[in-house]
Amino acid sequence: MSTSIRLLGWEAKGLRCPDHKLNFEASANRPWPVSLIQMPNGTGKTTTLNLLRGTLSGAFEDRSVWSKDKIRQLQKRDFDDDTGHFQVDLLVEEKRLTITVHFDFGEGLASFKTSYGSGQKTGFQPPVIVQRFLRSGFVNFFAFDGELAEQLLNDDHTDAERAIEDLFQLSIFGGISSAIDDYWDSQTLTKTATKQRGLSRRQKRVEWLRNRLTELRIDRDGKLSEKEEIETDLKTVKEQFAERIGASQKKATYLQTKEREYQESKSLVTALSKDLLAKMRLPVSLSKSFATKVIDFKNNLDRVKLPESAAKEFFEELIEEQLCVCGREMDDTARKNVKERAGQYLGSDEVSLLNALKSDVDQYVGDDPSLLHVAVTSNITDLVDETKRRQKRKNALEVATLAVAKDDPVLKTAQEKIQDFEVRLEAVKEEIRKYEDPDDRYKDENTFGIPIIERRLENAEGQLAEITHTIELKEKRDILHKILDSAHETARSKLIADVVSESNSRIVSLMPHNNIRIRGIERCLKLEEQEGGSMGETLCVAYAFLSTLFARTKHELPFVVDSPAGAIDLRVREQVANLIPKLSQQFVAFVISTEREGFLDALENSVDAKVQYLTLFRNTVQNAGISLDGSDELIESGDGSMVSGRHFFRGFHIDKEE
Amino acid sequence: MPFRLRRDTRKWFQDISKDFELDFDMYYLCLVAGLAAGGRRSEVKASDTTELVDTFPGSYREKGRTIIALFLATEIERVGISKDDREAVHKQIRDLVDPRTPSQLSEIGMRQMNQVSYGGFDALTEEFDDRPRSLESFLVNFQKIIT
Repeated sequence: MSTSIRLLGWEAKGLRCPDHKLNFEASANRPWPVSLIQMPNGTGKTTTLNLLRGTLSGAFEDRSVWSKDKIRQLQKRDFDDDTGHFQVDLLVEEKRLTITVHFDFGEGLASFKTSYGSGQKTGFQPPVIVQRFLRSGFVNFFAFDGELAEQLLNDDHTDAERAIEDLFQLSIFGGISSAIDDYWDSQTLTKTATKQRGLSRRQKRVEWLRNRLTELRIDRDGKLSEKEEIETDLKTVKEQFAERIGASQKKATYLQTKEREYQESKSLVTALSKDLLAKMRLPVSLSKSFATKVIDFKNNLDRVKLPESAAKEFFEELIEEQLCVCGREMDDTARKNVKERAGQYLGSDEVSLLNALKSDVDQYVGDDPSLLHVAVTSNITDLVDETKRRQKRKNALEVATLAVAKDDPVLKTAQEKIQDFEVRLEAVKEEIRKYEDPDDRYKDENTFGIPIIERRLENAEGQLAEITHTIELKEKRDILHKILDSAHETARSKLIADVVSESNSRIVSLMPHNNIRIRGIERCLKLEEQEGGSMGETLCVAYAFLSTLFARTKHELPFVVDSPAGAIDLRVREQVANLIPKLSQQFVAFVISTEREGFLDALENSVDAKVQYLTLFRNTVQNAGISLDGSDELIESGDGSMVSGRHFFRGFHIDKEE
Repeated sequence: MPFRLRRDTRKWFQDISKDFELDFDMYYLCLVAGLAAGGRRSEVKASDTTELVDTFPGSYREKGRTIIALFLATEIERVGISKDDREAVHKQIRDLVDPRTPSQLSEIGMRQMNQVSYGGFDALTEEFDDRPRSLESFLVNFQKIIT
């Protein structure tokens, strides 16, 4: 079933953007195909986009994403009121859905109210039909900016594969699997067991293990998200640190030298360790006593004449002969004796093996038991020396970092944050390992290893099936699961192949003289033979991918973009403007005045001039003299002005608020 | 019959297992520790172990027979067989090797080698205060224990 979501408008008050209220309706419940919101840099475009994302996804309630401090940063500067709110109006299946967030900056808290149709609920509670679109991972795909375009190509961030799963409703396979599980559950509950004793216990154990598995998976996923979050923050602070250091050439060169020396040593330790391990894979190189032992073993075999020069098969064949090799007749007694003694000889295969074994001892060890061991000892000495050097260089790097940060509070704070993030990252990694623990010795309630609980659940289900005579049904259930998994994988890979192919066709039409192409989708978009492109290329790839996705599904979603053409060459802007109407039935963009050139005219043409023009700026002293010529309407709030009208929009020339 | 690895071995090596080419590296290091401890062995339930491979894998392929030679030499010594007792040495070899299997170990030989690897893991956990955190420090300390 297709789903339609329209963005009717939003309202902001008490936040780090001018108080404003935007209405995108051209007529009642019918929004403009294109709404452009011109806001100079510094007016709060990023804040507004983040507010929109946080409200549409309910993310403001998630403490791991929106901490108290982060919430407080949304408060309007120099503003006495400790509260603020952001409200988004949507049209879902022709009914109005309003999501409101109230911010309490004193407590650093955000609380939601949701109304759909005539009912209002406390909390973030959108109707079921749009829940899969209104969640953190997905909202970013239709409330979009250049940063997210970059993240589409970075598997640390965006799950492009998940977007395909959601848009094409591949979760239906999981839903069918769950329904099958439910049916099997109902059968095991209603069937009469041969032995009533133990039935209830087995049912309870299956149920308990299932719940345990669900809890552990949720906990692990939470920790994985936390790890991802910390890694992102760490990367950001490291970049800030590097940028700040970069301002001073002398400091930057000094630190780069220390960093390079440390990295060289680190790589050398890794290489030496791997080399040593490779040598150690021959046990006789590990210790002189091992080498001596195998040489003695080999020499002793020679001494006692093992293997024999004749193999068992020789004597077995001799029994069949009339005469022995010595010329005597082979009578029954002689045959019996030869047959018995043949068992004491090794077969020809064993003889070959022992000879090969002795030959290998000669080849690998030779006659000198200390030769290989000396080589390994020398390797160990090198490794120990290099490990010490690495530690010294690490210390030197830390001292140098502290020294350059000492007189600069910004660097000092960044350095402290880096250390804090690194400690937290290690701690969360340690916690994640718990869920992979293969230890099977503990009771269920003390076991955290997900694979162990999965195995125990499978066994428990088998035992339950046995007692309830549903083994055949369980086997059928397992076959269906396999079919569904296979169908899911086939659908996913074919859809990905189609989306990649169509996206690449769009990239060709957007940038005919550029050979950047998508190779595949593995979590994120993978480009052919390159890690990433320029910002303009990245944006074009992202538009091509998203327009393909949205064009192939029947769902109608709004598309909100911050700076749709900012980083794009003038010659490509026209193509992007032509592509935009294909992205969505409703396109809303934040732009600055320098973005208009090459973009605006083409965009107007592509949507038959059905464009809504809005300009929002702060009421500052600098802006007090702005002429309102060409404006259709002016709405003033305490700290901002919202002007609608095409002529005013085109004549506005402030790129940045002072 | 395959080589088998104790489950707790994976947990113990978890911080450095990414540096190993094969899971067999963990098995081998334990085996060597067991052989260095005179063929020390431990009985471990099959359910507390995981199956590896039934042949010497990767770079162990060409070194397999030398490993078997060390294993045989250690076993003959452990059992107390006189080196001059040709019959007894002969029997021990016949019992432990089988050229027709992928590993060239008989069923008994494989079971015993697995037990030595399990025993070697016990020896390692006794010698090391904590599980290894880096490959370099582990290898250096491992070599000290072996010699």
